[in-house]
Amino acid sequence: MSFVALKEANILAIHGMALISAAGEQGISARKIEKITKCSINHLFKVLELLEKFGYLNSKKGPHGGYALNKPANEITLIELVEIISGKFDEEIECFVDNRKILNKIVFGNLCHELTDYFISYLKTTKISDLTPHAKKILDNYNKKERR
Amino acid sequence: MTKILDISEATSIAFHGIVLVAISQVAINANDIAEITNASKHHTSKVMQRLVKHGLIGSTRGPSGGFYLKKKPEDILLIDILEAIEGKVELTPCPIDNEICPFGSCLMGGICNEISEKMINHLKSNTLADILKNVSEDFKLDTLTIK
Repeated sequence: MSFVALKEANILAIHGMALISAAGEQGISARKIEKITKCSINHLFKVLELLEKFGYLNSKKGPHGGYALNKPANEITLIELVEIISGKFDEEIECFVDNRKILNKIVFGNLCHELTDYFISYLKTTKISDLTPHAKKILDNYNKKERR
Repeated sequence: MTKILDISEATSIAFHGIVLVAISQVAINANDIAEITNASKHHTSKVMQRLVKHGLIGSTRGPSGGFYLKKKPEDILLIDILEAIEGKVELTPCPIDNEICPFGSCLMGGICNEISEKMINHLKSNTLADILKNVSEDFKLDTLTIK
């Protein structure tokens, strides 16, 4: 169970973009991202199409095709990616359930605000370039296994 | 607008329902709770029945029937209410409940797990009595007016 309202598509967008960044200019195929992240290819395509539509990715078709970043990785924050999928985050929200604001505050005190601020701050300050070294290790390991 | 933290509608009704049961001077039924919390009557009934089943509240039938607390507020941990609805809480390190992360360790540094852990710790260390201490007279008055 998780209290964080991230969907699979959000996670795919973040992990996919980190792998694409790690692959550099030569790009990476959706199939390879699918195999590494063990996700559904159809779901992945939908997420990648959306990221391309919003100008974050370039795609090349064909046997050597794939996805590459259309912006520098250090200019892409995680909050941009999450909001493309889920819509704008509400930072001012009293708590996480509508119509029951008074009791929510009593049940959870300031915890909701604190954790919301903490998570939004993480998403705003973390860039895809911060995740690239970790993703590069995973990609290199995968490529080594594939060559064997 | 998207919310950062997520809790189910059922759990939200449960927290509110049990507080309303605790503060009400007269027996309060599922219809009253549904009206006050602006929730579906059917859903509220189901949620309250789960709280009955887990021994947190009892119910009496009849025209003046309703719910009552079966335990002292100080003996009801907030986590008990959550678990009555969601089942045993087991934190998974992954926000989408992947048992094995294909990246070995969390790409996002485990921040989602950290947030969930803080929520759980809060629910484990606070009781219904702690909530009731902070329920204002205004809230009680509003509730009784609706009733």
